[in-house]
Amino acid sequence: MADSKPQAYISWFCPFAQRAWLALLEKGIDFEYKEVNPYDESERVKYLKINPLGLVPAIVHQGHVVYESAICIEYIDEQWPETPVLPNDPYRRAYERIWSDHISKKIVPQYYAMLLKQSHEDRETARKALLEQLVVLTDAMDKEGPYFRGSAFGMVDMMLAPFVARFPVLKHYRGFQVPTEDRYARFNRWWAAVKERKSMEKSTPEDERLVDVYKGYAAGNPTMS
Amino acid sequence: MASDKPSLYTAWHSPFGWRAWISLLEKGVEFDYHETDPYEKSPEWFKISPRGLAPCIRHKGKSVYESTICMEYIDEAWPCTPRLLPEDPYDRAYVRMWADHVNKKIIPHIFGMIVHQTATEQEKSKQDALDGIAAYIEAMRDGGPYFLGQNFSMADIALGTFGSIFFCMEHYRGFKVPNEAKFVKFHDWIQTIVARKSWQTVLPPREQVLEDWRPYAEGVAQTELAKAAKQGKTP
Repeated sequence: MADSKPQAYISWFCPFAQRAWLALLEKGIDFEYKEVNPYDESERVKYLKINPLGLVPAIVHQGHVVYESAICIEYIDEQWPETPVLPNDPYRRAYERIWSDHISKKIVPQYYAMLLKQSHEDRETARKALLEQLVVLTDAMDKEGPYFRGSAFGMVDMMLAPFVARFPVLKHYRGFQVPTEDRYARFNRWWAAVKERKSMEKSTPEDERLVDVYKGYAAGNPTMS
Repeated sequence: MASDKPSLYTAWHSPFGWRAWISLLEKGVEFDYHETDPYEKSPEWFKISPRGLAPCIRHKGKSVYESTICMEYIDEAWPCTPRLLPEDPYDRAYVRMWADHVNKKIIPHIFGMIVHQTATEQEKSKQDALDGIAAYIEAMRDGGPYFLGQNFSMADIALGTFGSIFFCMEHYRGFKVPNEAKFVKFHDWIQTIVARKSWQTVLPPREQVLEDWRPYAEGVAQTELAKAAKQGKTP
């Protein structure tokens, strides 16, 4: 059992940091929120002393640092075992990890490609791939749902939700929307449930703020002012 | 029951595959070995491994793939000693962070130095690989001989599979982990690792390893691996 309060280093706009933030909120863990802007040089220098990789999220607890969003989620789940975000069974745990990996390797890069690529053709390629990989993921979801593995909101949901919460950025700059047709029904049902969660309301910035903060990316410049 | 015995689908020459293979051997699990060519994209193969990836473990009618996920699965499905991850949540996170470091900051450069065809690109990959290895060594805990100190773990397997064929990178690209102070621990560590029975079982003869990597080194390999490595990614 944890005997001291963890600190979570988060940037309010960062979808990777939101993943860990969701885990902390869902499990009702008492933590200290520490805002970091890794794009600000002086803040970055200070932050490197805490996390040598300089990325968010990071969890600092009992003198140790944990980084990488998926690893943060697993650490949080194992350090505070109540309200688990991963199932118990070894195969079901592997399944969550496989689909978390799919999100990071096949979905997330397309989100950034749609923003950063400057040619219409490249953005179209990314858009098609993004939609295709969302369907591959939703085909792997529990049929009933609404969440990935059924009635329990868990790790795979947390790995994807922050990026879907930023689809308004893609809509604003790229006219992107997930269609409403049958093919995307399972996705739309998943998202309708996910966005209502208290943890999502608490950790998702308003659309206007997200659109504003990502304007650099949309111009092909992966930075934030 | 027969279905409780796992099957390992892997290619003899794949260091990613050795990760799963070594894990099963270390645990003393009885398994069926199936030699696999993951580039043979047959419908049968996709039934076994839905994303077509090797290694893949079939167990109780389910498929587990991605070498790092295989290692964790093996540790959890057969929680006997040796544990591939320790008990303490922070120590577990530590092993995962450094296995992830191996996957992101070392392995792509190992492939990069072989697959890139210009000297400039090769030298950059070699330096990047050494930087990644230096960081891994610095993260090693005291008390040796393993990454965590006394205890063997998934962090050793993650790098130790590729580390055991560095002779191949030396042969084609003159890559060597130096003998200077900063890297001394690496040499002690890899010697201990490859002496383990599991490594001795999986490692193919030197000549076969060199032959297997030749098409990549000479720029004629057309596999997905070669394409991904050229982009600085590895599957």
